[in-house]
Amino acid sequence: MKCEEIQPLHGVYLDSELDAKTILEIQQHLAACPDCARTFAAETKLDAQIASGLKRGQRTAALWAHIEKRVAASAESDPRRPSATRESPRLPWWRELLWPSPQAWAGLAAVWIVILAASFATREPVPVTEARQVAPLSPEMRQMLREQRQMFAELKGGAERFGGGEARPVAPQPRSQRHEELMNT
Amino acid sequence: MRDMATTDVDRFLALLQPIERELETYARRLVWEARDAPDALQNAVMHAFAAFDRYHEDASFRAWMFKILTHEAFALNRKHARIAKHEFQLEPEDLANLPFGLSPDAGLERQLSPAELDEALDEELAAGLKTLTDAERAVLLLRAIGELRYWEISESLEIPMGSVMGHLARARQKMRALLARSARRAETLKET
Repeated sequence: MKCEEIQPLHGVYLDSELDAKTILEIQQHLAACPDCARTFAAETKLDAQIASGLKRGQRTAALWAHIEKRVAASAESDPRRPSATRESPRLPWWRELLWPSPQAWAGLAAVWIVILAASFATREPVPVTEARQVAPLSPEMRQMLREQRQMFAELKGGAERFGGGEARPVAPQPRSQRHEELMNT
Repeated sequence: MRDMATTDVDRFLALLQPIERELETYARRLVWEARDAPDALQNAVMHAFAAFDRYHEDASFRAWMFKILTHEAFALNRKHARIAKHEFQLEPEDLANLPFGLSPDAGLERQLSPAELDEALDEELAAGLKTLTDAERAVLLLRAIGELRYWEISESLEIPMGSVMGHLARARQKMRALLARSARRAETLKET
């Protein structure tokens, strides 16, 4: 390490803010260089004088008593901050009931949620065949269906009597001719 | 519940009381106007207590308080910034010509007592601090009075580590030059 490299490191060296390797290099240089050692010693003495001079000062008891009193007073007046002398407000009965163990209540609710979720997840799906099964008919419904069938049969029988079985395809022609044809049959 | 409440104020004061002297000394050195120091201290302590629920046990209370106090002092200094710039900002060379400290007016024709020497040095330092910029003064005082590490100063002033080292080196150089000049003048006066 050269002399011009050492000089800017004086303060950092005294403040013990350098790594071990650099400290060792500085110490080796100071041991070998009387000029740098002399400068370092003079600056160290001045820095110590400055630091001790700057540190000199007194605590003003009255000022701090006033400040500490204000701190305590602000704690009293701040509703968000619990105070040493202010009584805590009484909780409603339902909160007092829950208050001793709110975690236990929360845990119980969580257990119930897990149980419900598990039961939904593990329930077997309803078979499609079962779902499509027709429910048995009531006697009234059966009677209605029978009557409907009978009515359709009567209508069908009438149409057969009137048309003579299968419907015959009719070639397109004017309505006047079609009426005559029907009258002739 | 009651115990928790008690510890809230008590814990804060228990952490504050051991560093009250350093905080006061720091405030008195950092503010431009001596009468601002009590206001800076009171504001800083009240702000710190209001934010105490956000303070973590593993953080340095000392560094935290010095940081808050620095901001309060700077805020008060800004009020006097115009005056400071035009009337108080002095170059180190100008200080040697001022009639205070180890000057003929201080009475070096007789032997000074240790208390008088301290007072003279105190005046020299107070005047020397006025030659520094706000950042240089804060860094020098945080190191000398607060005994903060460089990284703590860096966090307190929200400046990079390199800037901390630069400000500190310049501040020390100015203060050394001032003291060395005063010492030389004192020697010269003794000889004559």
